[in-house]
Amino acid sequence: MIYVNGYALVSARGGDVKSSVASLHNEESLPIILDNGRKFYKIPEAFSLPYYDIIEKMIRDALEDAALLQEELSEVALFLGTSSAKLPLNEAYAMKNGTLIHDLYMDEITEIMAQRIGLKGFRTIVSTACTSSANALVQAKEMLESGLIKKAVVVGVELYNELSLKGFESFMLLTNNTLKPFDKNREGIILGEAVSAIVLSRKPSPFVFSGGAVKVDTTSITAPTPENLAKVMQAVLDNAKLSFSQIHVVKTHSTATKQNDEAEAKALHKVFTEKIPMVITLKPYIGHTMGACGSSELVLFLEALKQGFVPKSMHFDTIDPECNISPMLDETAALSGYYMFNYFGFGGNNSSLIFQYKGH
Amino acid sequence: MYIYDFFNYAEFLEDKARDKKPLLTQKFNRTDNFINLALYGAQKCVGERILPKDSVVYLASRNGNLNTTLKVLDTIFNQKNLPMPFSFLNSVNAAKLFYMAKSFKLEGKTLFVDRFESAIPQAFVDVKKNKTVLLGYVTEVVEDLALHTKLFAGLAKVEESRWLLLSPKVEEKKALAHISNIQFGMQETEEMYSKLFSFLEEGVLGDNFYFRGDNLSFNVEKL
Repeated sequence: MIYVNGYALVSARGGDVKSSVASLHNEESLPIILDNGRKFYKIPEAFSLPYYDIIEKMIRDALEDAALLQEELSEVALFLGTSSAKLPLNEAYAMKNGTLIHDLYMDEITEIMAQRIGLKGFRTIVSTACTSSANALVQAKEMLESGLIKKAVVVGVELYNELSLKGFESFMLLTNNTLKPFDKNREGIILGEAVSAIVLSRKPSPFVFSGGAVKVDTTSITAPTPENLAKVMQAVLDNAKLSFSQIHVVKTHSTATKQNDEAEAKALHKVFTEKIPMVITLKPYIGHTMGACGSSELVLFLEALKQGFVPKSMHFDTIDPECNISPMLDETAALSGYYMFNYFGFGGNNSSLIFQYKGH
Repeated sequence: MYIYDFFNYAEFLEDKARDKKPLLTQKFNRTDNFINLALYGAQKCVGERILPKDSVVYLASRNGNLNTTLKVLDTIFNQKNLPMPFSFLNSVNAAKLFYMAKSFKLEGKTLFVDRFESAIPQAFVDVKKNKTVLLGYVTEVVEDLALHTKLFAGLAKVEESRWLLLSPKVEEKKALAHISNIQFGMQETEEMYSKLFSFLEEGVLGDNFYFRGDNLSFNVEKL
């Protein structure tokens, strides 16, 4: 079995995962207003670092949380999930020097991290839009299970860049109001930035990585379909050898767009035919962190379980009859059991993960 | 892990790259040069075969679609406009995978990764699980060749779309070569992948090729 041994996260809620999660009880993190008037969940200035430094810090923090010894680092494989890769660096250079493309070699990110930290094992970047770090987690799990690697650190990276913001804006997917997943009056996404890292190995811990599934839906390049989202949820149940009735909570992808939430809701009704488990939405806390949302929302959730609670969903007022989903609006106690995590992306790239919490 | 087929496309550009779209056996609206380049290599590699629906795709590229990214950045930074939605979408790596999956009617895992060297071990794990894997390495050249030269000084102006069709051993089908002994930790940085494809094209039966790439080594034996 593959376990989570340590993690780290920097997001709009701050740079320390323990206090970031402790603050979920009573503090709402608010998006900032950018110069162009758009809302964005930004990493606070106090925790912001240059591009490579912030990634390095999160990897080092996660490795430290996993209590890995210096001599063990050489056998740690590095998986990095990102949608925008080096665009933030490229855009910064472009604005300063008037050159549109400066340097886009994405493999240099992991090469530089490997050199800085002393990781000598396998390394890869997975770039599949909003499922990037979720898919990186699945790949790490499968390579660990195969025995090709012994330990892995999986990193999700998404930092502010104009291309992503304007691209989402071009599809009219952004809201300037509130991010309201599954609500009848939802208007769309607010993007955010985050870097997170998760250490996986065969060393037992309270968190078991029970299953992962990745599937592609070629019906539409922009809009998910309930049938195919249901397929990826069923696939992860099969992969984890579980039935739908064993799932305690679903952390939904729920970006708060009309189409996405409706498709996910209908898929949930298809898979969980008897009773839909507790539904938790996390994007109102840190925004939609795109390629980093897989690992970042997972870290938020796992740390909350460690601190003894399941976080409440926010900003849900009115049930949408097309969705017929009511996210849990109260905190509940962390129970041992199975938790499903959904992540869906552009290009019909859909993923679902299951983790077992064994209690402390 | 066995190589059942391969396709090796590399065009050294002196002038404008040729349009790959007319060469495709299945074409799609709104695809850009990078996507057409990837589809061309993959379609030639697969040929008439019908891939299992759960086949896995690894599309590796260091730079992705340079021309579309350049166009989108120009719209945002120079023209101060929003990008055209489908230009933005083509710049997202998952979009390339969408067309690959659609072309071969796939429903399984499709991943865009950074390097040929990182795709091979991941494919090895899938093949061990009895999956068929289509693995390609694609490089696009900036349309403005002078700009390409400026940006990538010292590198040849080569458009590449090099593909492998990988599977576990299926007795009734004839494999071309066998990949074994995958190890990490090598520090060679030569472009070994192009040599691997040359070996597949030119080597003789029984020949061995020792791939020593960036942080990866493995053996390839011609069958």
